[in-house]
Amino acid sequence: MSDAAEKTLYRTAALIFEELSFILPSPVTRPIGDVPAAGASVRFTGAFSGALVVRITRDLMPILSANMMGDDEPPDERLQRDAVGEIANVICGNVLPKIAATDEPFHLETPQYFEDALPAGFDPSLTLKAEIHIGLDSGNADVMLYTAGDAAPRPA
Amino acid sequence: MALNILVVDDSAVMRSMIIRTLKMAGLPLGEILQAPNGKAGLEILDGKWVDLAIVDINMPLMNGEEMIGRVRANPATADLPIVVVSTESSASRVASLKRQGVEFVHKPFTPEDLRSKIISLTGVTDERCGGEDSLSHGSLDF
Repeated sequence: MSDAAEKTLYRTAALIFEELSFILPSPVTRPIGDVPAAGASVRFTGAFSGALVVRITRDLMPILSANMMGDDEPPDERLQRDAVGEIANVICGNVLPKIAATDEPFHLETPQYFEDALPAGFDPSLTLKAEIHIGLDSGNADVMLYTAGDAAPRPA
Repeated sequence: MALNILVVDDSAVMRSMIIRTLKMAGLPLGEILQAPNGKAGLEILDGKWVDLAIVDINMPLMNGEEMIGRVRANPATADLPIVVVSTESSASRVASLKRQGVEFVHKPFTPEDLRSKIISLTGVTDERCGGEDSLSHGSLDF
């Protein structure tokens, strides 16, 4: 895994979490592990293809989604899932051009929500290229960038 | 003039964030309409008078680029002011969209970003303050 790609992924993801959900991020060294978690995967094609996966601790979902919507009370489960998907979508759309260092457009597919493990149908041939972990007050998030084949994103 | 605004985004949470921004922005708002994709957005435009559309790019069924192309091709909607709100960062793709007469706001956006583009496109001004900086004391980013 490339240090430069991981630094770019961390900086981008931390900024998106802060700006969309108003939760201050901090770096953590360990992945979420076995605690209850959920997430979203965004497939993409362009200068290179792959998937961006965001996985967060389950307890964080109500806070994250309520903050995004500006409400005191958490929204229903459907909107909590939607919020995780939108976080993944915005991280993906912002980080890919920085890592690819090209003006070639990327096409992003609709985020796929999942509980605990990666979604059914997640392409097993994708290779993990960068992985970062973020502390978010009452929970943590893991963000992983997978690419297809031998595609090696060039660090910005 | 109260603006009827159509918000087209496949994320209900993002639509809610945009609508909250519109309500905070001090703009004269009429009816706020929502659609989860370009196809549903066009159906609304067929039956309702809309003064401004806020459109995402990456959506299922019909993406924002195709929707904007169809809006521009239809004489009844060809002049509709459109703001694209998207994560798109490709300068060439953004330039291509701007050639179709749209304004562009990058996600995540600030309320000021969106408000200034709407004012630029529609010429409306802040109802409460008569102009500038109704959001200048907030630093919320969406």
